[in-house]
Amino acid sequence: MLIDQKIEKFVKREGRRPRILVSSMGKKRHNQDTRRLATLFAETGFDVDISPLHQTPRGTARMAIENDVHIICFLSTGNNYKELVMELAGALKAEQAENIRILVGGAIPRSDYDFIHSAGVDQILDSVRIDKEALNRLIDLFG
Amino acid sequence: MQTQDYIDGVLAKNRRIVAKTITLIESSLPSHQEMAKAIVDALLPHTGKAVRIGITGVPGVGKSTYIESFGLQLVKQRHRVAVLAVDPSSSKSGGSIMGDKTRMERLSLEQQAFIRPSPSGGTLGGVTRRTRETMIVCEAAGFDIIIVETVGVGQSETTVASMVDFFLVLMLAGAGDELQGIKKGVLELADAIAINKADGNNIEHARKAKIEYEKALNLLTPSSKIWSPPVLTCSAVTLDGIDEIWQTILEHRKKLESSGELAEKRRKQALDWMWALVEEGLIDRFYKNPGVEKSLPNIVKSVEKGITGPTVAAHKLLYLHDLCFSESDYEG
Repeated sequence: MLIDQKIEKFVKREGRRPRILVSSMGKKRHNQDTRRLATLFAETGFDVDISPLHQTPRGTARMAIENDVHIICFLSTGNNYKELVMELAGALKAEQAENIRILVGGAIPRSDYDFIHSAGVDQILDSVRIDKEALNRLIDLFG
Repeated sequence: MQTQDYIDGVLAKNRRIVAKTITLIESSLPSHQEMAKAIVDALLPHTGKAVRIGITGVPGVGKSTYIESFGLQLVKQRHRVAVLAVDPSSSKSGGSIMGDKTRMERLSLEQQAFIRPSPSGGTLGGVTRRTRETMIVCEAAGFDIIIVETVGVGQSETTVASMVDFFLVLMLAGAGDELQGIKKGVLELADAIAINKADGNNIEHARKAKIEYEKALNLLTPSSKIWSPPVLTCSAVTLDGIDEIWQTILEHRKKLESSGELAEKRRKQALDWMWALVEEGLIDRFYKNPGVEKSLPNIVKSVEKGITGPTVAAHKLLYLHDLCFSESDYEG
């Protein structure tokens, strides 16, 4: 099924568009990836929230809850993605919001995939190759 | 979750449930709207005491930064602040990018704050109903200051002004031609004008702009008998003038309360609310009308190709709507 159709189906079922929060939870400035990805999501038909710079995992979880997003897209910019993912998943759980899906994008070595999945991440995207097809698979998370 | 769970959760100030309730209000599903209606109805008696502030200004005037500084100050004074952003930019696909919290970095972390940007993309009308009802939810959840942020373009500022107690218009000091490009309508709505970014080299420009705006406001007939909108200057960076604006809002409230104008204003707003719902309902019914739905694509195509004129097409659509109007529309 084409992604447009999937989104349309989603809207008919949920009463709103899939809403996604893009956060890099890092200290660096928003990089080109954040903007590119946010635009891609919006163009695909998502409602996109962008988190502030210097956002902590706890702050990201809180923003996800207030904005009531379906998915958090964590764009990893450093090496500490394992800790950040664990903290994020923990913060969501503490607020009974573990049903918010987590998606990780970035240069993550294959050897870490198992660890990250077991921490509660639903999908890992190679940020270099995120395209509409990858987003199409993402929508499948919601059946 | 059942209707009662939402009501209890909001009254218990549960952040997740407040957020979920707003989602329900924003939903386009009739079953959700039905539920939202019942929830808002039950919450209504728990509201009415909060200070409702609308803030507008053209893109780039520094609204979000201003709200960050203003909100932090209010939080420091032990207020609970909810910020609702009304119409963020949206793209052609219907999706949208909401970046408001990116500029409210510190406020978004405060325990006593709640920030919720809402997408406007793809909804017709909608904004009015949703924002008013969202305000009710926030008030019932114990937020005593509600800030509604809107971009100063289009119709949104009129809509927002009709649902708040105090309407603040943020302006920038330009180079002499301050009043150019400013809609007179916006000035008429203002309960105060604040010239933002009055810091550094800009202070002198801001002072000049203040005089210009004061002159412009003097030409207008004030909408209230007891309040003439002041022109202030402020800086969200140095924090100069931020407290003065809050004091102005409090003074405005005191005056309106004692003269009975506040109660009158809110009664009038209830009527505005009703009319807005009627208008939105009419538009909604038009699009859901089976006769319209069936013929709409063809008529649209025909106008696009220049076969049918717009006037004839509009008449035809409205006629179709009237034709299919049935008793069943009254039910529910």
